[in-house]
Amino acid sequence: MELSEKLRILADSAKYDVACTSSGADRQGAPGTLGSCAAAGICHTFSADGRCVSLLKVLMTNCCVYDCKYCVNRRSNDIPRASFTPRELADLTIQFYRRNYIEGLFLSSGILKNPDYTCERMIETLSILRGEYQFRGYIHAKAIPGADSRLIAALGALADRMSVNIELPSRDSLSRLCPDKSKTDILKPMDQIRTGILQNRSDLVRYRHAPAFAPAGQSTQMIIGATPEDDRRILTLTQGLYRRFGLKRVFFSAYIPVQEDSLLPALDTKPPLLREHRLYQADWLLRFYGFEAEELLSEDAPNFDPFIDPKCCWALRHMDLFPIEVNTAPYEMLLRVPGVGVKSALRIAAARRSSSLTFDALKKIGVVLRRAQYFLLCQGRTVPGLRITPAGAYHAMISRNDLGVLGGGEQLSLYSAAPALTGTAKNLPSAGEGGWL
Amino acid sequence: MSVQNTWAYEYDGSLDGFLCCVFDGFSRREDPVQIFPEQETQATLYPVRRVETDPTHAGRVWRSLDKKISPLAREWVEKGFLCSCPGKELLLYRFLKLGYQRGAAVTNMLGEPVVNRLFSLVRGIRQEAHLLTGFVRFEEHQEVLAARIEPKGFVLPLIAPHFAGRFSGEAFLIHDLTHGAVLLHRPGEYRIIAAEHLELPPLSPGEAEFQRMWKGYYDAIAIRERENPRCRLCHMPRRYWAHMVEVSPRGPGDDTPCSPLPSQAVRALP
Repeated sequence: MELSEKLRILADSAKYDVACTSSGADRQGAPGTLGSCAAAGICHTFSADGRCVSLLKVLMTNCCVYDCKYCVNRRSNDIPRASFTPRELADLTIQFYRRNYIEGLFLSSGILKNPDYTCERMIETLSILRGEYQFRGYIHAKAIPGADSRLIAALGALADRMSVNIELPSRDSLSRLCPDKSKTDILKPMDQIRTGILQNRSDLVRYRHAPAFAPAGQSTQMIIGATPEDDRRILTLTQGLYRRFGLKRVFFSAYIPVQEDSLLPALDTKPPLLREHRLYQADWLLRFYGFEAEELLSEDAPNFDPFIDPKCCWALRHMDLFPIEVNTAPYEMLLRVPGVGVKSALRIAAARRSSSLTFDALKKIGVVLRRAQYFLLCQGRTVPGLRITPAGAYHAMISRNDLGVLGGGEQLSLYSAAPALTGTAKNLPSAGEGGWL
Repeated sequence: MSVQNTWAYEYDGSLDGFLCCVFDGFSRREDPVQIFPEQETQATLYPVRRVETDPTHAGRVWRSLDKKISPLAREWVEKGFLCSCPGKELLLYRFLKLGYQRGAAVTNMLGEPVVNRLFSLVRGIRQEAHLLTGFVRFEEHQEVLAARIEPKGFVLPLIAPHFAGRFSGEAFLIHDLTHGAVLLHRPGEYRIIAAEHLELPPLSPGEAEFQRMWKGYYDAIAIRERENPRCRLCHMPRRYWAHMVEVSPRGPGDDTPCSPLPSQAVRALP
C-alpha cells in the first residue's frame, strides 16, 4: 500500500480523538537538533470542522482486537485497515515538521496482537524521532490500556503529554459498550502517569538534568451523548479527574453514530454539539474561574440550559450577589460576572489602579457590556436608562452565536419548549451507581 | 504674535527616524499634528518640518523609554511601529507624551483612548505573528526551505527568533511579499534584508508528493458531521490561505503575491 493511502486511512481512523493541543511544554530549539515547543501551543491549520490542527494525529495501526461498540475501528467493522512501520511514521513526521505543517506528533493506536506489542511499536517510533533525529518538537502519546507498566513508563519518558481515554462517563456504560476494557485497565495507567509526573517534578528539583517524564501532563477524553449520564454527573466526574489525577485537560467528544445497535443512539441522531459546547464552557469555569461543579448544576437541575451558558445561568440564579462595583469588587467576583473573561478581569484590575473606570472604558477594555451591564456598577451607577428585569437579563444572556453555529445539530428554536440536551440514547436503563471514581 | 508651533513632521521611515521626531518635538516644545514617512508624502495644510535622523538623539530617546516609562512601554513602541496602519506615528507620539507624564502606569491606563488604541495595535501584530508561526509553509528547493507570506504588519522581526530556534540546522528563508523583505537563515545566523523578487533553485523531486500527502491528511482529518466553515474562518482568516498548501488552489512553487495591494516597501533595511 502506498504511504499516502496509509496516511489517509490512519488519519481518518484517528480523527475522533479530540485533543490536538500542543500546549504545556516549553522547550527552546538547540543547535544540532530539530524543533522546539511553545508553552501556549501553536495551531498550524484548522480543518473544515473548525478544529485546530496542531499535531499529526494518526494511529500506528487501525487494526484492533477489541470490539468497542462506539468505535469506528472495532474488530467487527468492515473498513480498510493499514499500519505504519515505525520508520515510515518517523520519517513522515520529520518531513511534515520541517515544512512547518505540524507542531509534532499525536500517536495513538488500535490494539494489534496485544497491548504490549502495540506499545512497543509506538515506543520504537518515538525512539527514532527523539534519538536518531534529535527531535525536540511536541509528542502526545496515548497510553495503551492493559500494557505493562514498564512500557508506559518508557512511553512517558519520550512523550510530552500522555493520555488515557476514560471513554465513557461511567463505569457501567463502559462495561456495557466495551466488554474488553475494564476499569482498572484505564485508571491504573492514569494513576501511574500521575505518580510519574509527581516523582519527576521532585526529581527535577533535586537534579536539574533529571530526564523529563510527560512534562506537558496528562489528559483524557470521554464521549458525550452515547450513554444516558446527565451533565451534572459528567461535570462532577470531570472535577474529580482534575483533583484526583491532576489532569491538564478533560476533553468531551459529541457522539457521532457509527453503527446501529440497541445499546446506542439511532444512526440518524445528530451529534450533540451544543451540549458538548456547554460542557466545555463549564470545564473552563472549573479551571480558570474558580467555580465548583456543585455550584453550576444541582440535583433539581442536572442539565445545562440550552439557551444560556453556565456562567450566565449561575449569575441569574444569584442576582442577590449583584450588582457589584467595578472599581472596588474583588477580582474573584469580577470573574463571575457574565461578559467578563479572565483577560478583561485582569485588565480591569490593572486599569482601575490608575483611574476610576466608566462603562465606556469597560467597553474599550473588552467587556461584553450587553451582558455585564446587568451585574455591574461604575462609580455607583448602572448604565443610564437601563431597566433591570429578570426577563430582560435572561434575553441578554442568550448568545445568537451559540444557537446559530453550535445548535445547528439540534435545530433549537427559541420559542419552542426548551428541548432536553440529554437522553439521546433509547432503550437504556438509567445510569445510577457505577461511577468512575 | 504667537510662535508657530503646529507642524507636520516628515522623517525617513525608520524607527530611529521616528525616535528623532520624538526628540525634536520635545526639545522644541512642539506638538506635531502629523508625522509621516518621506515615502508617503501627503498633501498637508500644515508647514512641514523635515526631521533628520541622528543616531545619538534616537539612542537617548530609546534608553529613556526603559528608564522613564517601562520596558513594557518600550516593547509596545517597538511592536506598534511594525504595524502598517497609517497614523501609527502620531499615536505612538501621543502615547509617549502620556508615558513621560505618568511613568510605568501608562500601560495600565486602558480606559485612555490613546493607550487603548495602541494596545489593540500591539495585540493585533502579536496575534498576526503568532498565527504565522503556525501558518507559514515551507517548500523544499534543493537544500533550501522557502516560504512566502503576505502579512498586514511587518512581522518578520517578530517571528524570526522562533523559526531560527526551531529550525536551527536548516537553511531557510521566509519572503514577505507585502513588505518586500526576506528573512534569511543559515545555521548559526539570520538577517532580514530588502528583496522584491527572489531566484530560487528548482523544487526538490519529492516536494509535490509531500504537499499532496498533507492535503490528503487535511481532508481526512475533518469530521463531516461537524462541518463548520464559519468557525474555521474565525480562526484562519481567508487572507492567509493563498500560501497554505492545504487550502490554497496554487501549485507548488507559485510565488506571485495574492493581494492586489501595492507593496509597502520596508524602509531603511540594508
